[in-house]
Amino acid sequence: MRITAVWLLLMLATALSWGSGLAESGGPAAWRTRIGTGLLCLALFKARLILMHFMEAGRAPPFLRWIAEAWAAGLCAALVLLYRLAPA
Amino acid sequence: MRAPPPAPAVPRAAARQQRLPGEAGVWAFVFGDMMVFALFFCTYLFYRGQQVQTFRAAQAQLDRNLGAFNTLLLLTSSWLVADAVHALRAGSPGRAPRRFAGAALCAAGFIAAKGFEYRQKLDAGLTPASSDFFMYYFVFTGIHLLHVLVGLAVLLWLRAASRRPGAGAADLRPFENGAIYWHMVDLLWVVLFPLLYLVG
Repeated sequence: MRITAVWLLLMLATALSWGSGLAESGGPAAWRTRIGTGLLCLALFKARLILMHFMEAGRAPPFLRWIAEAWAAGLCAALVLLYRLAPA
Repeated sequence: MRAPPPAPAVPRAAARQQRLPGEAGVWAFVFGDMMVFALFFCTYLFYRGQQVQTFRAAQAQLDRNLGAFNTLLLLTSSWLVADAVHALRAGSPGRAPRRFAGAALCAAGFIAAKGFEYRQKLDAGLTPASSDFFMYYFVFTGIHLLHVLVGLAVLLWLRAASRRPGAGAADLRPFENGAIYWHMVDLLWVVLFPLLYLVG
């Protein structure tokens, strides 16, 4: 079933974020920034999965679907930019 | 006089496929809330950029395991709610009350874990006045927790409504509206958790 597959993917992605969050703390600055960027992108990927599959925006009329896509993509870009502009 | 051409089959099928789940008003509220939280997230990262080391040191005092556990709880509750709506839509509402009850239990677990976490922080002398990081932590997670409390009430109402005979047969929209709200609560936490607990 599609929503069960999405749920499993979300759980796996959470385990991955949690694991990389732990790995991130000790490494050099460049490595840390790369992991931080990956964590933000993964978070917005998860949010998009929830929007499209659980909230069913993926099957909604295009107007609503595109607002959802724009929110996820726009926020991902804004967060990555703000994060990477900060000194490491 | 020529007969009108038969309506094309594909667009009608597409129109059936492209259906607005829930009601437009709920989506307007949900997107409004999502924009407010998007501003919260950007504000947090902007001010973090001014004092990275201080934020990083404060962030290390958070319990990542508890944050991850809470994420798993909300994701599972969202899946249960999505499955309940699918069951109601398919005309077999039998499992829907159990699914909503399970989701409500996950929400209660989230609230209990958050209460425990706040208690831990306050006992350690960490308050919203301790630092900018903890001000953001308490305010953002607090506003989110209010959403969870409202969500718990919504889930309990959905459970009761799904037990009525013929639930969802006449009108599925109240269930879809509640589900959309609850998924949004999950979605906001999915971004808030890595932002506050993991991204260093």
